[in-house]
Amino acid sequence: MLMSEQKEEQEVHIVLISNEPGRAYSALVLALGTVTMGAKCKLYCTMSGLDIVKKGGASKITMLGAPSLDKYLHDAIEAGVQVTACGPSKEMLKQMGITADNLEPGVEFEDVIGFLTAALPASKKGGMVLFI
Amino acid sequence: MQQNKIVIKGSDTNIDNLLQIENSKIGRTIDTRGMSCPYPSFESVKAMKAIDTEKDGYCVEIITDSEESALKSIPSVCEKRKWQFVVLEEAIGLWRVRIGK
Repeated sequence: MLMSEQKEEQEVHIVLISNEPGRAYSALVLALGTVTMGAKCKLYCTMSGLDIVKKGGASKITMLGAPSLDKYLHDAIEAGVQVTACGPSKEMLKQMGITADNLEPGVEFEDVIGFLTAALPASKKGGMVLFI
Repeated sequence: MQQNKIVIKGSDTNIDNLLQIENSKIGRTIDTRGMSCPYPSFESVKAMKAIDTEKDGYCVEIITDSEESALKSIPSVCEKRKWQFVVLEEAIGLWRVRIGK
């Protein structure tokens, strides 16, 4: 169920640069918080953050006392957070064992131009672009 | 547990309006005890989006053991979304927040 308000213009674009739990959890907590507040949110996972969106990858990322990261990821996607994965080249993805078939459902590939196409206008109208 | 409810915060300064939310029919109750941030607020919004106020009842009730959620986060979300709310302190370390549209 989409949680953002249609009329809400503000957007938060998060760039996740690592699979480290400390960063990955922070990014998803922020994403869930953003849609809770009614703003739009996008999470762009760069190459070193791709474990999160690889099928089953998030369930292996854990933090003491918290549910595993896949709960956060699935809740975020269900609530309308747009999650994209950096797909720089076929060769790099092949080396990392990532294909379109083993991405989490709801996650799409996007390159840096795709990210900027959405992030530039969002920041122009007062949105936030955050690197985590 | 029900007898000692104390209204400690609300979206309105008029106590009668707050009591109106407090006394309205509860459409859904969510127990968020033990949940980590931002789940108490997230689940509140999810429930508010899911209830049919005509059919299920007017408000959503959130049980929380987090002071931060009860007194700050959920009220902030309600203010942002222009929902009415009332925070009831039920026992030490236990709150019920009722939200109505």
